[in-house]
Amino acid sequence: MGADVTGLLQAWSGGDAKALDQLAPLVHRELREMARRMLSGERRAVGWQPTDLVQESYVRLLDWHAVHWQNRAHFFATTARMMRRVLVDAARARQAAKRGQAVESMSIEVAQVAAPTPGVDVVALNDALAELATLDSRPSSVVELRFFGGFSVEETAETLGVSVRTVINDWNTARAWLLHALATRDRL
Amino acid sequence: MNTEGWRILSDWHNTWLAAPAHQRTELRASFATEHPELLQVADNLLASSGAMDGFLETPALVLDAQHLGQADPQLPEGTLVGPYRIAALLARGGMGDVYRATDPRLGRDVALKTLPDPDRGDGHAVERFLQEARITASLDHPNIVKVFDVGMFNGRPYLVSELLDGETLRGPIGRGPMSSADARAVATALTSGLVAAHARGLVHRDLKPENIFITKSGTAKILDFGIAKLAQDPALPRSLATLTGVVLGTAGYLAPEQVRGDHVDARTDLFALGSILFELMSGKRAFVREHTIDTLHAIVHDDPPDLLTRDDALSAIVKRLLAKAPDARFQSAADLLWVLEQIDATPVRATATHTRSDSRFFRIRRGWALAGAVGFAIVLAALAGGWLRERTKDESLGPGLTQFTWSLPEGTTLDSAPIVSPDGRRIAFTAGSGDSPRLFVWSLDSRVPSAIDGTDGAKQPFWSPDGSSLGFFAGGTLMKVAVSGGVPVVICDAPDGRGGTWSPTGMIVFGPHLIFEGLAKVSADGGPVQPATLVDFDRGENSHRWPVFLPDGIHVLFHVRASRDDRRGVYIARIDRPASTPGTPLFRSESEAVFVPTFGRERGVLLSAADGQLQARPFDAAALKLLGDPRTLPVAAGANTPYHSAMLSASPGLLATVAVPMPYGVRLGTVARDGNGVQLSERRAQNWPRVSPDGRRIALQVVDPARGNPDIQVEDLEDRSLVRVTTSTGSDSLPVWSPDGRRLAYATGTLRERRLSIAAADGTGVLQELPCPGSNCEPTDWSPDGRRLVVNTRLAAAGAQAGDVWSVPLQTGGSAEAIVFGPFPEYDARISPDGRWLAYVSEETGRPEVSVRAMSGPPTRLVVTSGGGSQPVWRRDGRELLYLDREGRLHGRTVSQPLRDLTLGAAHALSVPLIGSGHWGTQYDVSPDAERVYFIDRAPAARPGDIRVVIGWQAFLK
Repeated sequence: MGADVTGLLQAWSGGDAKALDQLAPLVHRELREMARRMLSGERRAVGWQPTDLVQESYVRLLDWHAVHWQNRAHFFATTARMMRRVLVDAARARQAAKRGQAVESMSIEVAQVAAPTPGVDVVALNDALAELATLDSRPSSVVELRFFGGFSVEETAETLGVSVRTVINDWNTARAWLLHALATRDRL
Repeated sequence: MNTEGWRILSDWHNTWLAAPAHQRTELRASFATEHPELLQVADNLLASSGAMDGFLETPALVLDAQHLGQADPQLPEGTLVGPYRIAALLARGGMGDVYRATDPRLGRDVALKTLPDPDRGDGHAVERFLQEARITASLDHPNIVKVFDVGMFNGRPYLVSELLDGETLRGPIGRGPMSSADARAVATALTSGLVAAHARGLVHRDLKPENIFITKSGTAKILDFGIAKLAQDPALPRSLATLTGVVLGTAGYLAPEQVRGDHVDARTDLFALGSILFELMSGKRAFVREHTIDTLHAIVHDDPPDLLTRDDALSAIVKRLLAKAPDARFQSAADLLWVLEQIDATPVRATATHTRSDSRFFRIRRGWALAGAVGFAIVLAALAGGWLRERTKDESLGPGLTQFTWSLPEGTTLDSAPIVSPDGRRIAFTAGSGDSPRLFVWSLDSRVPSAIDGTDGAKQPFWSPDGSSLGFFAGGTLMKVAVSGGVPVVICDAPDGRGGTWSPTGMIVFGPHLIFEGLAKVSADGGPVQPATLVDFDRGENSHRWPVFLPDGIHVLFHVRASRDDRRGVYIARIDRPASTPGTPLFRSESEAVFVPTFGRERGVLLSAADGQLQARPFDAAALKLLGDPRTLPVAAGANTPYHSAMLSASPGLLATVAVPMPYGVRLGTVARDGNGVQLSERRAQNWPRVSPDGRRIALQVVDPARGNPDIQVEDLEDRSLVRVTTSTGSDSLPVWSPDGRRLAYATGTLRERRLSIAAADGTGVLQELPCPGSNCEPTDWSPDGRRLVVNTRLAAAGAQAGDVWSVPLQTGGSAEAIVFGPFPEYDARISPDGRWLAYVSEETGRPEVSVRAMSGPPTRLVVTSGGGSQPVWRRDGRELLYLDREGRLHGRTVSQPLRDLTLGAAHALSVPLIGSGHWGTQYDVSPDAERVYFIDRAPAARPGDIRVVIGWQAFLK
């Protein structure tokens, strides 16, 4: 990563929300490069598991030393928020490209778009999650940390300053709520 | 709904989730009564709860990884690759994808093969490939698949060749032995192609049925000349085909010289041809065995089975092609072709019709060719992905022996010695890429090593006797895990493991700690941990480690580390008796030993490392006696270090070594103040440099890897000679010079009990010992009048408790007193050369900062740093104060004392490398004029990434 990212990270972690706009595509490019190296052709070479990608992304992308992280909680929370932004943007761009619309903020090769999106509709989830946050911010943070950040229950508890039990409870209820929200979304 | 509502809902929801079915109705009912306004949402939750399992459990990034990670995104129809338009994907492979494409200029269909990114920093790989592809393209021969074009697309090379309709030779082989006529026809066709290619200097190196295509019209064509070059590095004598074959299990077509890593030439292709023909004629492979390594062995040593065929002539030809020595085969494809043409006139014993030959086109009998033809299919080169290029071959050293080197993929390095499984088929090791290392098992039959999940932070693995599990150390515990995967199980605590061994009766003996502890034993199923050996401190021992069970499961070999030379060596302990101190060593050694049975179960050799080479001693494990003198084997094996075992492991058939030891310890560097002339010492494991008052010598803590305990040494900066100042069996650290440069003060003792000691700087011995104020202390400075030592009182470990700075008198009659104290840690104090000021580090702001205060008189205090600072050092003339900032950057501030107060000038950063090894104490010092900086280099040494494997290593013993 270059000085760009570190500077942007510093700005963003210091409160400059606009820095994220510039950061996200840079981060996404880095993520791609990392993932490509890990998963390209030689899939599972040296036993790389997809979860390694999550771990590695923290180590590589977010220069732990350069940015003045107030504490671990700050680091985790920031990371999760970044990941959410990057991945949702990427998913949005994929969907847009599929529908033939112009892709604005992310320059993703058309070729890449051809592959189907597995699992979760990240864009819809993102919206539902934003809605959940208006009800109670804590479960929304739990989901952001766990699903987008990939953090464990313990790390999430540490970040939010709550007990592991609280995280698990929030996690369960939030997921049930989100599932319902995603299911009913299509009916509108 | 608001936050409170959510919390109520969530509590109830989770209760509901945990409740058994019959209670759930009741729960809902009571909720409906208590919170009717939330009921709708509650019901929604219940409705979704059934589908919740696993939802969002996989992190988004992982789900997305497939998209992010597509290295070879499928090219959609219509993409223009150069002038070619992609029509359809025909096949995906490890070495790239094959498409049907159209050449619009000529209006013909072609096969377009994209090749993966040679992204391993080898800029020449592509060039070499293109070069070879161009030669191949210039070949125009009916028995070689025609290459039309080669180019680059998106930074990756692609190859355009004729699109063929037919199948590979694997098809006909699968349908049973070929008739003699057909076999001859194929032989002639292939040989013909080889003649053309060899004439242009191309050797295929990877001929096998998968690389030979039979078109619908019956023509045999050779594929993929030149592909192999893509991943090769000509600097190393290596054959990709060998590695490919080994890893894919298609080793059966390799020639003996490829297996041995000898010189490869056109005759190598002829051997492969012989193997192929053998298989065509008999329906069986000539050299295949159950395990690849046995196949390799057979290729080199075994005669092929007899060809039970009526075609004596072709049979004789094949036999000659399969001669082990290249000189004994046909010396060129041209020679072979001539012979084949001659025997065409020789009838086969039984009557069999075959079509007449045409020297350029050999037609295979139609019926056979058309049967089961695969549609539009180009055979893919069955080469695996790019990492394979790293598996190199070395020259073999004699009959019965095969050596090769496995390289871990780029960016991954070993974290432990590779350990051969008891059955000699697998190697376990830990490796990482800058992050937490994990356990890997590399089966000789597989392309890649596989990681074992959940083994993050694993160290020093060892096999269970049945090869089904691995014991290892992680997170301060001893653990075990099934090799096939599963949850690793904690067996017991092991703060800093130093090796383990597993007996056939389920007992594990291990070294639990870095130093000052003996071996322990525990059942592999967990349970109480008992001591197995006791360290004899009086005799200078400081650690027992790297245990290895002997076949009886009662005796254990282990290594004793001692500061006394006569105690260091390999010993045997009996674990069915109470733990005791070791007796006499089996033999003196700097390294531990492993036992390998080479003659029955209980006689064999002890392998150890000496001077970087492998050493073997014949040993009777039943009588527990050495049977002869040690022999040095011509295999490099890295010695052991304070943290790692020697880099060797073996089973009766397989030896794995790493040529270099695992690096450990930081080292001293020196640089001019302006950043020029950085020099790094070659010696490792040095710490706490202190320059003598006259600037001519430097005192350091040095860990001698053999002796294992840290000592203070003095290096002469002129002639680089070393003097060992301390020889105690304890751990000596943090040297401080006396003002006259004749003595050194330092901390000594065991981990549990530390004290101050003063020794002569010329190595003539300890002069004085002083107790610490409190349980623990370290000297940081010596007062200019020579009468007192300034010490830190803090535990000598990370996570120190709050500490203070004390002054300790050297003469009797004075008393120790605290000079900087408070509720926050204060430490690393240095007295200014004029004795008036004390610079020190304080953590009262929550972060280390440097301050200066007056030594006596009014307590004036100057805060030197505010953004984080540590490790203050005064220049010898008192006119500059140096310190490190938070990042380890060295700063200096000029000091002036116009009246009696101290003023500091602005800070300026020195452009020297970042300092700080993560240890405590001061990691640098400066020459008296502060023009030279001596510092502990931060950069970690490169870890090895190569494992040397030797099959049949016992040949060395003969």
